[in-house]
Amino acid sequence: MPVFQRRGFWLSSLCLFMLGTVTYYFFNKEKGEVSNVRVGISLTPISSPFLIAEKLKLFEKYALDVRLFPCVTGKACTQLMLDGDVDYASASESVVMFQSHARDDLALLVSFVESDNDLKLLTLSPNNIDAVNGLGGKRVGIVKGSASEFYFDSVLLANDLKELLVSKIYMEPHELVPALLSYRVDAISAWEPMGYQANLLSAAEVKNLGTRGIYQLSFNLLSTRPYLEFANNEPQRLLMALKEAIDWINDNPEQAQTIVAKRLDISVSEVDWLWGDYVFRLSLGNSLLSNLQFQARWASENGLVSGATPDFRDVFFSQPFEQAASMR
Amino acid sequence: MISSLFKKLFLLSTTTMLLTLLIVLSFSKISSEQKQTKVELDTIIDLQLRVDLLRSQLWVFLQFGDQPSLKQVEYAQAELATQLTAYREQGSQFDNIQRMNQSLQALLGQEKRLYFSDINSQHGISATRLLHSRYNMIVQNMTEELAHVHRVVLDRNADNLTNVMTYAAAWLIFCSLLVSFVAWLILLRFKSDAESIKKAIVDLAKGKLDAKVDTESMDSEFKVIAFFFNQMTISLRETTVTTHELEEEVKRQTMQLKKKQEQLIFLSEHDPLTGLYNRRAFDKSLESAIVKANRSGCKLAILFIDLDDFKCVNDTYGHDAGDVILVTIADRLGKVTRQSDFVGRLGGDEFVICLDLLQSFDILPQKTQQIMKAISEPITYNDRELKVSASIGVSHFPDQTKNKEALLSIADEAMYRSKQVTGASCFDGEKLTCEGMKSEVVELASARKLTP
Repeated sequence: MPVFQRRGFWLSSLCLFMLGTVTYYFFNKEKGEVSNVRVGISLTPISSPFLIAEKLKLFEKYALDVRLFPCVTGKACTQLMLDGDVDYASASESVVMFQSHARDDLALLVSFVESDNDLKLLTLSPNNIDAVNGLGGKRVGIVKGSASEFYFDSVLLANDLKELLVSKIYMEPHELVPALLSYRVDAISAWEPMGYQANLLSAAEVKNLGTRGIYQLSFNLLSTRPYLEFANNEPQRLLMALKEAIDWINDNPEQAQTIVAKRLDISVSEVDWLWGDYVFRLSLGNSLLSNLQFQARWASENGLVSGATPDFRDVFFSQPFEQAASMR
Repeated sequence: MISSLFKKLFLLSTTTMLLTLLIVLSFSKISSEQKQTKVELDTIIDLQLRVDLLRSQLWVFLQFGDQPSLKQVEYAQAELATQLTAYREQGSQFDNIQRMNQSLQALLGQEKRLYFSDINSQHGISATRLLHSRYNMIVQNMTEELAHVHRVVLDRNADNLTNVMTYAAAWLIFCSLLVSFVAWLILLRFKSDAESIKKAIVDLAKGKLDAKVDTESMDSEFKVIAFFFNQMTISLRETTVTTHELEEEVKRQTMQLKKKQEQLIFLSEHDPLTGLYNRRAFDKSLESAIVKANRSGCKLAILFIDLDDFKCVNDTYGHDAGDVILVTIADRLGKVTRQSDFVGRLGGDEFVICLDLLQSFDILPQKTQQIMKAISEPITYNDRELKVSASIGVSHFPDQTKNKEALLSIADEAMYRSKQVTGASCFDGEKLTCEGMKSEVVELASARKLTP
């Protein structure tokens, strides 16, 4: 019997060892080599998927060593990427539209968040403007060549007020809220979290003159084709990490808000203010394409861009998204 | 470790029951999971159909741009909104669709407000173009969102199933391993326990009474059996005699019997008082001596001795004195005879000596003298000195006769002839030899001898 027992002991030890080896092998095979990735993101709740993935160490899971570079706007992030300081950037589709006119090496990998209520046309109640048509002869603060301007034009269009005489005051994003609060302008066309800030800082009531659903903002992951050519499956892994982060956000919205608020050092109420408008989802579909085309047309008509309208289907770099979507 | 067969079997049956329960639970969980997924998928399909309807109504509206088609669009949108509200209880997964639908509703409201005023501005991007473009985007978005929800539901279902399966598999493997392990343990232990008991029984059957079962690592059920087995062997050992012991006993008893037999033979052949041969033994010895003498050609002489005055001593000093005389004479006769000669007491005061292995009878006169002298030596009894003499009759073999009885008879007769003489004397058939020493008793006896 002791011989039996000893043999049993050795057999089970061998089995355990083999199991361990196989597991280790598969685990390592899955992991592959770690890629160093630099991503430029704007430090607002719209970048939540990146912040959550970073917090949950999802990048590590997909063998990515991701460093997040903060930038003020999507435009700045894209510039950072084009200058070669980061490999990927997150920006709105407006930035994609404008940049696509200037260069043909831009690659739109995926849209990771959408909101049809991110942009607002804000005014203060002492200005006595109740509707869009009340803006005639007024000064409106706008960020030139951005979603801010497109949104304002869209609102005018949707209200059939294309011919309304309004003074567009172009300014930098950080100047909008102070300008509104100091009555240097009568209204501003601004994205979040400027609406929240205006609400927070203003003594007077802040009114939104915009039309809901008239504009759909999307935030997208961008890169350049020369970079992607040699990136192998790195973008695919990046998308998979983002997908997992988004799934987690959708399953645990409250925890996600807390994490984001803590990471951005803002109050949970600020995150909560915006959260309901965001649709976190990876997509690369026709709705984004038609959005881009419509904006391109608007830009062209308003003389904001020159030259022929690019074929945005070529801007879409769909392979990583398709592969990530097909994998579970 | 559980040291009882019952407990192990109990563990085995419990684990097996657990296993069964686990399988039933897993299947019911899988079934409920699939049921829920089916409900969700049905909802998604329903919503997809409604979004398709909305899309087709929008297409009609974009084609014709008239009031009725706009109404149809509104109707389809309202239907979708109702349905979405109804499905709200299923969770928050349709919230995004609902938000999109609300946006669509807002835009349709805008469309209605503009419906008549927009017709004149046909150049550039018009409000309707913007709105129509937005409708397209929203419906497209709805389709994407529904596909996404569909995917999420399927993924979650797959995840949940995998989860259930993984847990079930882990538990199944664990329980199966436990069952196998316990069964294996029972098998091994049963085998080893039965083996040791069998071995002990076989040993016992072979007669090894010291057979013992080691109960150290046994299951309690076998331990009880083994304990009683060990008790049994101890009892057997205590009550059973081994062959060796039996042999020893038989040997001892045989020895005793032999000794007794020897004693009996001795008693049957010897005179109890003097330890000399009795008549029967003497006859037997004489017979074999004659046989030997016949074969070897040796000669024999029989000396028939009768004590003179013995009766007188007996009467005067008592039987004890007579016994002392008889014993002393017998002793002295033993001393004066050779190893090959033998002496017998034929009764009363009669002794007989057979001188065996003689080449001739030349030694006889000297021998008879020696015997007479030995007999005549005084005997101390109660501080008194007693003296007896002997009358001896001699017969010769084979010179006188070869017959045993005749030989004895001749010696007897010769003794009677010598008895005629007072004092110690010997008659050998030819001449009478006397010792010539006289005692008071002898004289008294001689006087009496002469009187009748």
